[in-house]
Order: sequence, then structure tokens, then C-alpha cells
Amino acid sequence: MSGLDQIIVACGMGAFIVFVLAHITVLRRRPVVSILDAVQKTFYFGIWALTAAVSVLPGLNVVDQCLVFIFSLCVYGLASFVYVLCIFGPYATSIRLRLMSELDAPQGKTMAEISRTYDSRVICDARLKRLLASGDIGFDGHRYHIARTNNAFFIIDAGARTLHAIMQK
Amino acid sequence: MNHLMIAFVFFVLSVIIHVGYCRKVSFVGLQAKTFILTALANGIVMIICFLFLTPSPMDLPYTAVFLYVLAIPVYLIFYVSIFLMSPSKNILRIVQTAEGATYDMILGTLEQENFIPLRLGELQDSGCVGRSGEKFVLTPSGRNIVRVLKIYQKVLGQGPGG
Repeated sequence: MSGLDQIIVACGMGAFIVFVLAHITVLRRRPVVSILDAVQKTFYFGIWALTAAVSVLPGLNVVDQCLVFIFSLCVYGLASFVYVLCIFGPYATSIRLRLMSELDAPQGKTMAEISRTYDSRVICDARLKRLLASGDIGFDGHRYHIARTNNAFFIIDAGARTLHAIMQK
Repeated sequence: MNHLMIAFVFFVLSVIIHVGYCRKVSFVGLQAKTFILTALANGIVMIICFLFLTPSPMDLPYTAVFLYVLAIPVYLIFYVSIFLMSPSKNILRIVQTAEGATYDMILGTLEQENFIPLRLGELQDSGCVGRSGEKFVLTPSGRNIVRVLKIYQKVLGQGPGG
């Protein structure tokens, strides 16, 4: 194992920690309106931290610095992607997790009791608000329309459809 | 650099084995556990392969293992998306038409999808929620998840999501 290897992992995970801390700090100051917006801005903090760390590391030539930066960026990018889609995304948008929070009562709840605080209208309103804030959809006062076709949903959906086509007999 | 190539080959191998398995099995359903186990087994073989590589100054075994481990949930995200119908994805499909969609049209479509009963059923199947007469109650594993969720909620200083 080379010293570069340890530096790459340390820089990548260090940038990821900076991202998570910045993410928590920003979210504690304001509510989540757009998930993409909440993540995008804080993601740059990690890149800045990574760039700063790589540029001040002693004993590295330019080639090593480029190598460390590229692979650290891969580690950081993947770790952030996994955090956003597997931890923060489900927390902010998952119906299952919200239902479990709703059921956190000693006696549980009936369907009618759940519907008093959480129903299709709440689900619809929350998503419309988020999609409008992220600029994925627009509203002309009467109708909602698509504003951006290259959004994260369509990209993941296209990947999932390709995978599904491969998996089908 | 050899480590990265080996990690990539083993990851692709895990995906190929999983896709092959999903094509073979006759029952429909999520096979996420199968992929995790395959990736874990391949990961162990990969680490054993690393031990036999001739050492060089450009060795990146830790980076390779990190990237391999992080690539597993990335594949699972795409795989799970095949089975998961999200309300946001539904809304985007409705408003994609040339004339767009009104609020009532969107709400009507989401109501038809019955997201809440559907998700409650899935929670029951996974053992996070149980029934006590008419009431839905959290099981011990469900309570543990809610406990973690509440801590995360407190850390972020946000209300419930959904």
C-alpha cells in the first residue's frame, strides 16, 4: 500500500465529512424546500475543502496532486451520492418513514387517524412544493407543466428502465 | 492502479451475476439481498486477489475497496427504482404532457395510486409494522428505526419528511 492511497481515502472522506457538516449547518438554519438545492450548495464546500487540502499537502508533485484530487473526488462524490440517496433523500421524502413516524404512538393508529395528519393531499402538496422550488416543474396559475426534462428523477428512471430491460427475459 | 481495475471487474461481475440471477428466478420481487451477498462474496475474493499482487508505488488498495463498497448502494438505487413508484415521478409523468396538468388532476392520480395503504402493506411485509385489531402498530424493529429517525431529525433540526 502506498502513501498516496491513504491520502486519497483521507482526503475523500475528509471532504465528505465537511459536506455532511455543512449540510447539517445549513439545514438547521432553514427548512428543506428543494432537496437538490439543499445538497448542491453544500456539495461545493466539500470540493473546496478537497482542493485546499490537496494543494497544501507536502511532498507531492503535480502528477501526484492531480491523481489524489481525481480519486479523492471519486470517493467524495460516491460517498455523497450514497448519503443523499440512501439517508437524506429517504428521510426527507419517504412515505414509509413518515408513516412510521405517524405510528409512533403507544396504541398505534387506525387508517382514519393516520389520514387526519397524512394523506394524498399532504403527499401531493409537499412534492409540488419541492418540484417547483427545484425548477423541475412550473406553474402558470392554472396548470403545472414540465420545466426541465434532464432532472434527477428522469435520469435515475432511465437507468432503472435500462436495467429492467436487461433483467427481463 | 491494478487494484482499481480488479475492483471494477469484481463490481461488474457482481452486477452480471445479479442480473443473471434476476433473469433466472421465476418469482417477481426485490432481490437486493442477493446482490449484497454476491457483492460481499466477490469483495472477499477481490481482497484475497489483492494479496497476490506484486507491490508497486502506485498501489491503491484502500481506494479500490472504498470505491467498490460505495458502488454497491449506487447500483442498488437504480435496481430498487425498477420496483418503486414514487409520487414525484408520477407527478412529473402527469405534467409532462403538452397541456400540463391541474392540481386536481395530479391529486386524483396520486389518490388512485393508493400510496398510503400500499406502503403500509409493504411495511407490514417487512415486519416494521403490525396490526392490533383495526390499529397499525410499530413492531420492535420499527420502533428502533423511528428512534434513529428521530435522532437524525433532531440533528438536522427539521420536522418530519414525507
